[in-house]
Amino acid sequence: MMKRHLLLSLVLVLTTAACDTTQPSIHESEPVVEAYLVAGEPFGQVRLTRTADLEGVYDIASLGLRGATVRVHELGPGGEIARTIGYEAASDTVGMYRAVGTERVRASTSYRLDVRLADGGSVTGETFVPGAFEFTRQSDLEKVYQGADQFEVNVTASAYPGRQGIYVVSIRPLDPHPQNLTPFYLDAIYGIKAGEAFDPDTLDVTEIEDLYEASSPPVNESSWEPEADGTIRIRLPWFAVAFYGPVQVEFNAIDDNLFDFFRYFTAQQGGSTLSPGELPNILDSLEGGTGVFGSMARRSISIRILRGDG
Amino acid sequence: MLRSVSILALLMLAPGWAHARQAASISGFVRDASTGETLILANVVLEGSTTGAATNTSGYYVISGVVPGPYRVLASYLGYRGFGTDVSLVPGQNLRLDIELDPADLSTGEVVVEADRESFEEQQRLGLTRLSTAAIRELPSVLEPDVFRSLQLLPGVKAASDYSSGLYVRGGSPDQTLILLDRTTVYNPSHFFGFFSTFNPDAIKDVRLYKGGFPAEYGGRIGSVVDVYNKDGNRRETHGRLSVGLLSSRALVEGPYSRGSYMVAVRRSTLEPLFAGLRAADVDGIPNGFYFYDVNAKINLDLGKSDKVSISGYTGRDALDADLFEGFNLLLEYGNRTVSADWTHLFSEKLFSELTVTSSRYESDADFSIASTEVGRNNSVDDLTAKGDLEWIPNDHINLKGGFWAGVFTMRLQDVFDGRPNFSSRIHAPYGSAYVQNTWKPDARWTLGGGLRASWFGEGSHSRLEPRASVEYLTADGVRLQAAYGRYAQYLTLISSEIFSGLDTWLTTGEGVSPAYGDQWVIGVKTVLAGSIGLEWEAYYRTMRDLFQLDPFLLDPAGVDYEDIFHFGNGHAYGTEITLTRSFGRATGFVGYTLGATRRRFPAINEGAYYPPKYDRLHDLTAVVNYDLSKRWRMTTAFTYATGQAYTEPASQYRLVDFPFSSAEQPALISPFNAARLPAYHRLDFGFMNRGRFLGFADYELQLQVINAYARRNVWFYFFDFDPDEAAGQVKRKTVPQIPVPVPNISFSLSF
Repeated sequence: MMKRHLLLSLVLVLTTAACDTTQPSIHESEPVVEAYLVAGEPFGQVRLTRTADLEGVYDIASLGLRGATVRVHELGPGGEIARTIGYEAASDTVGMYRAVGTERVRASTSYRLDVRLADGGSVTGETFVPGAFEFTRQSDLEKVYQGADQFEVNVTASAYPGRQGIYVVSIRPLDPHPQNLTPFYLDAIYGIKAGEAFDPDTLDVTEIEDLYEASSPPVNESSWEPEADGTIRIRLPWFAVAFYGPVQVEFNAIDDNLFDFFRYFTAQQGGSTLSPGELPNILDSLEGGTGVFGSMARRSISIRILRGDG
Repeated sequence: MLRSVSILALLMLAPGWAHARQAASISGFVRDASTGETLILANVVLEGSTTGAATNTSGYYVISGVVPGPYRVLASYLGYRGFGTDVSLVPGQNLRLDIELDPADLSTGEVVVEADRESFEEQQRLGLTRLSTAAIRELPSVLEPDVFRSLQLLPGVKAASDYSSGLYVRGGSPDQTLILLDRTTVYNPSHFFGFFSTFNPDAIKDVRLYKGGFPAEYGGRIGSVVDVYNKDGNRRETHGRLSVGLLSSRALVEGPYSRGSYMVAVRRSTLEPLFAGLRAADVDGIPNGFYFYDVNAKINLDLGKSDKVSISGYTGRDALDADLFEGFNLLLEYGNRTVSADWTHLFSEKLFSELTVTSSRYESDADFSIASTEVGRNNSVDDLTAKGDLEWIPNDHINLKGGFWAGVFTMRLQDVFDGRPNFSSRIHAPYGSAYVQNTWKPDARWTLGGGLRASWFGEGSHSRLEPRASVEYLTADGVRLQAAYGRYAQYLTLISSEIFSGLDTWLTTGEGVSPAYGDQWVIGVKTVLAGSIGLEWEAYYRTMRDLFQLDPFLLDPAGVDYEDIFHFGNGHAYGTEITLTRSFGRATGFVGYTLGATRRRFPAINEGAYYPPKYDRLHDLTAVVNYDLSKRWRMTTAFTYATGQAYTEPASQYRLVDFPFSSAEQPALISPFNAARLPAYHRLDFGFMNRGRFLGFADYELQLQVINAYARRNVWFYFFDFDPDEAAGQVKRKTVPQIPVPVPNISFSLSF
């Protein structure tokens, strides 16, 4: 008898079992901000768009937001507004707003973005511009690719409140043609092995567009070699060199907002310990919208990469 | 907490040993008659009574407090013929009765019906499942029979994908399962970068899985325990086994010697000729070299009737050498080495002891050379331990057990970038734990268990108390009603990838990093239905608190405080499992169903709200059927159906077009995290096994199997392609399938 009751109970449990709960992915449009402040450089531009449905065609021209009022406030030590930079809509691009005047961004300073949208909404966000840094010395500006010496530069540390400096190293080739690709990239992009003959005119140059500016992931100051004089020595790894010839190397100390974008964007691209298919939303500090209002301090230098055969 | 500890203390000190002073007892080892292997969890009872005992992990049993007189002793074990002998006990006698059981012939399954019924009932401990190595070898498998892939078929155990042998038990991640080989922790139990587990089925004697609610003698993980024992070696005659498969070949030799037995088993991949042929044919992407191997060895030394020493070892390694592009070379090696020395001693027939010294080493070394830029990660774990257990069975009411587990855990991790170490960490932590547990049987119906484990970990100097309790009531018509509770603590966490286990890295608690802990509540009902069908039903709820995992958004750990490399969260899981089992006759197998859910909560994910991890599945149904077509042919089929896994279906997108660090636009997705479900998973595998004599000198087994027989294209995951080549900037959802086609498998084994 008990066994019969047991079976009935089990059947009851199973038949009343809940179905799986899922939440539909529904697109809800929201404003997107894209703006970057660079220490020592003029206030640039603020791009305002809206998020788009994943199903449709992504056409940024049709997503630009007109009629917004855009300002950036420089904040004093107590958070008070020290000065305000106004922006005006660009006539050539819908959703683009450019700073009025030639005022420059100060390092180690906080800025607040204040956007009033035409529909009455607003987007606000803050950034702290990393401290400026300087080159103190560098190695020869011409280096043989994969030679004994790599390009090295010593920099002073960029100060940032509450954490060590975080750097992104960007490389911009000044003569980016397929025939100037270094062997690793030539194989990775076109499948051409070292020493293999090829006609550069037959190669699709759009394949190398992503290399026109390529960057390292954010690297902590502690990853570089500290020097006795308090500077840090940064060595350019050979794998970052995609092209022979003249190359501009940029060292960027980034703020928390850019750092967060990198961190979460990398996870969305699969570069984290999350399982494949798990896509976290990108953390941003904006109120009323999404996107990036970031800042950085930057130094750059031009070098030349020579082929091993001279 | 104090209250529950007090209740447990009462349970442990419960009355019972003031039993008749003149009672007799029976004790001894239960062994396989053909090989002399001790049998774990074999059942020994006195006929016509409920008095009996099950063997422990050394195959030893004690029936104490027996009223003097004549008895018939029955012994049984699943897959063996029943044993019976008459004894007569006089007051105060301690009868040593070593028992040998004959393996049952598959074709005469009914012979063992009664014995198996008893054995079946005795082994139905809450949360415990035993898997025979014969079953592991017979189940259809992808290229290679595998212990963990066989465990994945059990109710409550899930797989992340067809490509992973990782165990996700009752909502827990793989690092929440303690993996023991001969009482030694194995830290990366995988070959082929996660595709297989390290355990060679030829070398294994016994696999037991505690899915939850495990007793105080186990600790160190908050989820479950896989307890694997190597074979002791044949004590009767020298025996060998050779197997040739598609992926690897195996060899085993075992036999007796003057003072005991030995066993050596070797397995090695045999892919090199295939790779050489593919490279010769200019096929892209073929590695310069890839192999894995493992060696299991064990030797037993009988020092007398009361003392036995065994030394066992395991070593395994995977190595890959691949040129991915011009100037891009990958060298990866990882593997485990374990050694354990075990001494069992009988102080008396009622007091059993076991002392084990173990060493476990796991090492992974990955070196990338990318355009002359050297990048690498070297990680190792060294775990030296001593374990001791005392088991005292003063009478048939009490089984008191206590022990300790102490050791030193050393982890080294070094990252190299551009030829220079840019991050290193070394954790060298002593740790220890001690437990006491008692099983009290006040009468034939009730069994009460209580235990307490205290654990301590040197890194961060954390300590925890872990109470355990269980109760079982046996009804008059043979239904077992069971319940258990336990608190569990865990001082380790694993950095791993569902895709690739070759870089697995363990981290520990520390300053500011508290151990994870969780409570488990389990209830169960077990009985044997008409037709000798075993029915098990269990329901569980478990919490996971203070989970610490490597922050998935950490890009560079250099200079980051130890506690800041983690993110901290909680979780819970609940579910119910039903299993119907038929263990003998021409048709055997089981049908298992799980209704379960698990959730996690970490501040930086899903806006801090609970979410289902990818491996969460609400429904999971598995059916495994073995059918003896004839004396020589056996068919095995396995069918699995499961709810699709959780994944993130993006709803919106934006793109950064002015991004200062890239000439490419940066697409960003906005999505409710893991709120969607992949299509349901289902798969049918089947296989045939033919057995007979080979040229008169050996027994052979030929296995022909097909995995994914009807070519179901189960989805592993989706990715979203923003490739600018796509028409008009559209985002394309692309599918990465699980094993999408039928995969044949053939293996041939000789036993002599």
